[in-house]
Amino acid sequence: MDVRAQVAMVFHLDKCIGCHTCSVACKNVWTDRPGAEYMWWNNVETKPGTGYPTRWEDQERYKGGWKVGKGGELGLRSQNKVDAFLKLFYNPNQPGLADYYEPWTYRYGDLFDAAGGDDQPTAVPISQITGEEMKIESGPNWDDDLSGSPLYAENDINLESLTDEERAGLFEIERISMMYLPRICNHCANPSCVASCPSGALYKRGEDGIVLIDQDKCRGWRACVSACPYKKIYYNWKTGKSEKCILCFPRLETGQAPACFHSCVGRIRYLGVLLYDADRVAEAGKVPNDALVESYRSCLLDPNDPDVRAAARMSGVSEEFIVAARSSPVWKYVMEWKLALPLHPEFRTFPMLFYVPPLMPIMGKIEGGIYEHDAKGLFGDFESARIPIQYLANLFAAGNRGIIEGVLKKLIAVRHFKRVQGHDDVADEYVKRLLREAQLTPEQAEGIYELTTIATVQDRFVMPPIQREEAMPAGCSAEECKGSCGLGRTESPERGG
Amino acid sequence: MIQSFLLVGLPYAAVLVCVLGSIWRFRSRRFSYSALSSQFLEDRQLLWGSGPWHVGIFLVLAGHALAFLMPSVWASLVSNRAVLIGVEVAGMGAAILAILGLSILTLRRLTNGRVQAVTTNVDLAILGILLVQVVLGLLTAVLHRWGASWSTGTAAPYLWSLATLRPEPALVADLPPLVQTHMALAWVLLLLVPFSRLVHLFSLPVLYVFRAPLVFVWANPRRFERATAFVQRIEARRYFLRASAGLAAGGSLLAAGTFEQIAQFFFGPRMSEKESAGLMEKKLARLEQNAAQKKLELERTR
Ligand code: HEM
Ligand code: SF4
Repeated sequence: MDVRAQVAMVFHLDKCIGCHTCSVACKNVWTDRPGAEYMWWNNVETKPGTGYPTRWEDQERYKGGWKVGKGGELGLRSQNKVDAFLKLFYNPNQPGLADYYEPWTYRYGDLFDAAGGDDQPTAVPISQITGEEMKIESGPNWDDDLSGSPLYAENDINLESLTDEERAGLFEIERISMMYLPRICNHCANPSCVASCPSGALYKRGEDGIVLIDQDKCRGWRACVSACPYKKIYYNWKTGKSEKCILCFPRLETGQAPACFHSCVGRIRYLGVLLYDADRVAEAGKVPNDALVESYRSCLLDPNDPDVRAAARMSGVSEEFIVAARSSPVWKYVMEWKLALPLHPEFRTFPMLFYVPPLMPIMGKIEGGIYEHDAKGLFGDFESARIPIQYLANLFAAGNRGIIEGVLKKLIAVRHFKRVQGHDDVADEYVKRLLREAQLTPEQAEGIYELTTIATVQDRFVMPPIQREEAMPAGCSAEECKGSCGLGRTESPERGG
Repeated sequence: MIQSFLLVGLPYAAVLVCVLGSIWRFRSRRFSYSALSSQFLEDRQLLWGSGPWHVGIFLVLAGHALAFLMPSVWASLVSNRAVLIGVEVAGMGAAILAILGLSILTLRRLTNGRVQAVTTNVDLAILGILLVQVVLGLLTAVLHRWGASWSTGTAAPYLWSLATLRPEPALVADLPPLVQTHMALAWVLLLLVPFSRLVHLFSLPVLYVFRAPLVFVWANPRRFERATAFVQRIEARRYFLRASAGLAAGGSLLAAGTFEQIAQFFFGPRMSEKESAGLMEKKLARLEQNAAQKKLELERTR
């Protein structure tokens, strides 16, 4: 057993309001630079929808993640050790500018310099690449809130295995049924990006599992861009290097939560330590799709078990991390309550970002243009959820409906459990039955309620001191580092000739 | 004067600048090492440009390298007329492929607005010089037939003379101006390597073949101090393997040298009796000279 610690994450989708504050916080801190304008290390997608870059989930096209080979071995979908060399010259699976968008700004000067006339002057959009006037034809959130649109939502790859009835239910109410999916790099336990890098520039930090790209080692071969199934690595067209979410490690190292976590208005984000058995990760990825979620869960180790703690110490995990792991909100959501699930586990990278799927039961129907509330009970029946179970299963459980049903049962049970405390429109017996069916104790239900609704910053972000000061010489002075691109480098990020 | 500079001074300057410059850039401006791909900005023309260009230039350079590194093998190969024709045709084909690809790449750099946004003057200069260089090479092949053959007596030994630090510019001094220009331009390209995107040649990621899929970086020494016996064993094994590989490489080089000496002793070319008599005579003469000198010295000191 080789125990490793990972700074892991939970996003609670029931709470996400799709405001993009996280994306803007990240953009302002990290990617407001030439070559990085189009990068959204954090982005929020509307689901159903095609996402960013367009149809990133389509691995037939982008070839990201791992696949189980004929002999049962785990291999990269995008390359092997031989064709990796051919793909240096031209990578057929790399998304191009058209799959993202051409970044633009406006010529604001026009507003002041325009000749006098009868019309209002306008600021003309100009490309941030060429500086020339351009027509804006797509953008980072082009399909924001456009669930139901035939142009975008219909092309969502997760809809493919849905029945016509399920689709009809999804798009019934004025085409507005949708959920938001905020995404950052998952800092996977078995990252295909790391495995694909010809130069060995990508690595996982041993102490906290953050996945980084060494900008000095990167040679711009772009293998990682196609190998990451979540398309969370972006090629900087200006510097000729690839970049990705760094989980704000400079903030973590100074005891602050990452910018997107800190700024989250809906407080949907949780950060905490998970312990896992690194020896078993690759094996765990070889099981059939249906069993993947369970298989990955089985690699996570219980920090409350003294044996695990002893093993963690033996493997060099610091005492502070072990303590933090014991009060990790992520452990609670992922393992204790089994509410949070990995996004697209079938990509087999073992993502370390977990999502609590949203609960959206069908409460009524439109008949003759009138919306009637016709649901039985307080919250309706989760089986006729507005967002079909199959759709959620395609997103979070590699198609396994049972896992989603288990989660939704718990979410409904907790709602009833709290309702009965303040109102008398639900029967006690009914609530007990719901809890029993969801396999929750009242204490657990209370715990879920507390961490979901009234948790403080300290409860939501349980970060150990990362102790870089122990290992690193105190880098450069603040004056010297000022203005450098903030990726732990002191050389100015200039493009090579 | 100019000729001796082009044939001796320039080559040494170019190699020196290329090696030292690339090392300097790697040490002080490592961030700037990149293939500087522009596939993200433009994709179709790149495929039809970069593909043929790299295939073509690889074949051409492989031919050049073979002729230089194994001159005797190459000479015996091209002494066969069929092989010679084959080599020439393949070379011309590869050159045409490279020229086609390079033309597309150059046009792309000059016409595509987005690609222009990341095009530097050095990029254009490199593309231009490469284009002229490959065209000159092709012209040489067409106008001065059978270069694969005549170069074995001229260019190849000249390069060897440079490499062994005993330059003999006379070997190539009377080659036609076209060929001389081709050679000079090659040195200029080498000279420009550290200052251009051509440093990507040194980035070929060979080690990828041997690498484990996941890379972990431990900044904290605690890991090794406290790691379990198992982890330590694995890491120790890795160090051991690395050290053994180094020792084995060094050892085999030494062994190869020793074997060569032994083989020379037993199977190396023997001298005829006349030759060894001649050698003996020379040695004797030198000894006698020495003896005479020593006598003189002795007398002087007395
Ligand atoms: C060691 C093997 C080589 C590798 C792996 C390699 C790889 C690459 C890559 C990835 C690019 C960027 C293409 C893009 O825009 O996506 C490139 C461009 C280029 N390479 Fe190479 N290359 C190699 C050898 C060479 C050689 C031997 C030459 C010529 C002496 C050469 C000359 C060029 C030039 C001129 C460009 C710029 C093309 C442009 O205008 O965009 N390369 N190479
Ligand atoms: S999500 Fe992050 S760690 Fe996982 S493969 Fe993509 S870039 Fe790598």
